[in-house]
Amino acid sequence: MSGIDNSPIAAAHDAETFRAALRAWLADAIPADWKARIVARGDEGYLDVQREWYATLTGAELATAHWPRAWGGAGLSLDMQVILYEELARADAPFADLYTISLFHMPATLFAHGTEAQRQRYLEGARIGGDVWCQGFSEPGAGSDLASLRTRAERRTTPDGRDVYVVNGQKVWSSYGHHADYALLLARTNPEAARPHDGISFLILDLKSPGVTIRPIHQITGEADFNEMFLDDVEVPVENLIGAENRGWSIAQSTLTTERGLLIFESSERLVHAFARDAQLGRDSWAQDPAKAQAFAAFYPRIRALRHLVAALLAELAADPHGGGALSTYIKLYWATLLQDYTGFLAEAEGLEAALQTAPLGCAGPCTGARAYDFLRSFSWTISGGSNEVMRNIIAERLLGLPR
Amino acid sequence: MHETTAGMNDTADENPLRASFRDLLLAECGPQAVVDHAAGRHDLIPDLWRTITDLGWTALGIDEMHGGLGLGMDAQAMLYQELGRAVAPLPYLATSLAADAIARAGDVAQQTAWLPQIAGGMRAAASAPATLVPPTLRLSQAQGAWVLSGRGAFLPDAVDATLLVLLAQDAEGTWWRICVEPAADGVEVRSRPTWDRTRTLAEVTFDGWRVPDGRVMASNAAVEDALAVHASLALAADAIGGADAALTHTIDYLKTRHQFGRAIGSFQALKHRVADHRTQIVAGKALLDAAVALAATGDDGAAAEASAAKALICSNFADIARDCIQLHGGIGFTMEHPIHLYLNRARLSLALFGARDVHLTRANAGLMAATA
Repeated sequence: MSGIDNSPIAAAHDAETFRAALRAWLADAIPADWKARIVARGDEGYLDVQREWYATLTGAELATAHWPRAWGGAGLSLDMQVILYEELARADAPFADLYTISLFHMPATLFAHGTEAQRQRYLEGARIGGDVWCQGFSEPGAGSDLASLRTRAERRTTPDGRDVYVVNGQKVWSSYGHHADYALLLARTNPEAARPHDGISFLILDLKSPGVTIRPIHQITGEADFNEMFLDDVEVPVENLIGAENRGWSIAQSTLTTERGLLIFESSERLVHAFARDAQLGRDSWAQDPAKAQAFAAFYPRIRALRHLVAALLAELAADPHGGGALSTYIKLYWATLLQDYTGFLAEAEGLEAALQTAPLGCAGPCTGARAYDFLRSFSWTISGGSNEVMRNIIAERLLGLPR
Repeated sequence: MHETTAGMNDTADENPLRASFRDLLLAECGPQAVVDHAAGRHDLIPDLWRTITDLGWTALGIDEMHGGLGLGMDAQAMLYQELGRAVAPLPYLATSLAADAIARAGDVAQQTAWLPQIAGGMRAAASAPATLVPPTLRLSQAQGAWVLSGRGAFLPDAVDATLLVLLAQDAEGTWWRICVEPAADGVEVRSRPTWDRTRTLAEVTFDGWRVPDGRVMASNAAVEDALAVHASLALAADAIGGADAALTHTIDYLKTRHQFGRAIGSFQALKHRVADHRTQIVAGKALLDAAVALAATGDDGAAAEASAAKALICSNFADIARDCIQLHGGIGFTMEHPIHLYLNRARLSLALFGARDVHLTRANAGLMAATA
């Protein structure tokens, strides 16, 4: 359908040219029936659309547009990345969410902390091979208190002379784990460390390794996006250690920060477009009730504020790629709360219509138009990647200096 | 990045103009001085108004050809934020809005007559912009002269003003701005004491009052809309400064007040409220900055964005100020503690120059036009 020859990347030297090129390309490239395929075929349709769309995006260098050129990316400046995400949102393209970790967290971690060999192998695997990555962070007993995690990784030499970590434990909430090839794994290498944070290492786990069992968990929408992961004497080669042993906590923190910032941008753009669409739809139905019209209108300034907040974050990141920590924490809390309020309001405004079940539409962004489904899914933002309560603790203690 | 007592904008690379506003107000208009003013023990306004006139603040937004500094909305918005932070009882917004009305609606003779005086410290006040609050005064012609009738209610900070720039409507529905000196015969300005003791409201009544020559200025939707942007941004900026200060005082209190053997700021129930308030302020500030930038460049979207800012930020300020009293406990309920100043200022700002519904309608009008 599309190759590098007609990729809009060639036009990325100038903002308006790039925007026009993207619009033209997206109009052709987005499969017209992608939502219908997911609705008709469920998980299987979803996987199909994800793989096809990822191949289309990588074929045009767009999936890895934010990677450096040296690693097969397009080295796009932040300004141009913003345009790319704006146009993906505007075109209502499928969200490549199956590849979120492959495209953002894994490469961000390896660019900063990986070895040359790790970069060679795993970056190419994701970009060309379509490897799916997931995270193995949370545990049944370690959610908000992630540093208390108990999965053990013990360094040993096997009888045949290989140096490995032998991993035992249980992980939970690993998004897309049942489709994934690799996991970014946090495991305890030093149980005697003075602070629990200081005994954790960051490992690359090949999910095809013997001893790995993955079991999907059905979430409140009926979909199974996330998983339990059981690890029984799983051998991880020592060359799969990222960074230094026992330094995994701070490496993972930088990974989580990425999630809190830039990834919200495309979603927030989709909310801006959804608000305009919903305003139109409401005019002929619920918005004829002045009280509901007024309550709906009150979302507009919040959506504008969010958009400007994200713009401020992007400006901070442009000035300092490692900056934006405080802003991205505020944004995570503001965005998650706004999205849940908004989708909850629309579900109520539509009345009993919204009580009727709809087919899950997993990668259509945060506002698919199926009101109750969107509302239920919004909990993935208020709980995962640091719950609203964790964000409030971070703001109060680290940013405002309130005592513990 | 820890908070300091001065609040979120206290950074080393701060704008020097903003720093100069803040430093002066901190020195001359600190919390105790405003509490004394509010309690009627010491009128803060006369000396402070003279000081800020000497510093050129009253000349800030006035064109250079009329003795002003000709600075745009971005500079003025910084001053409005700092006045809000200090809960300053100065009639700056009223005066500045009156000058803006004359600059936009007046002819050269009228501008020359009044603007240099305002830049030089003359106090003025203006009716709310017509696109936010419909006019109640009526203007008509009788025997070749203009005649004014009716009651203009809720004029902010008009009590001791030397000049009023009032809004009236004629029989055809056309809008006019009229320069009225309260000292003139037949003009009655009645003070209406407000709970917000840092600002005042007044009412002016006319019964077939003959307007002196040269005092009538034709207005229109474009002029009134520009004034609406000014008024909306001024209140939103004031609210950001006020909310930031109120919350910063409250955080300081939570760090120092001990009960049950520990700082009450260590209780998560209180921490989380404060974190939510700070998040709203950070988001509001992003919206305000964007809205001010649009206004400063005269963008078409400025009116909608200014109203979005007014609606959201004034509402957030009122909620935050309310909780700041609660978080202070008993001391917050006393006249002697400054925290109540913020609540009353916030509640007045919520209602002033158009309530939230008025501004939400204006904010959404821009969006509806774009998507229709």
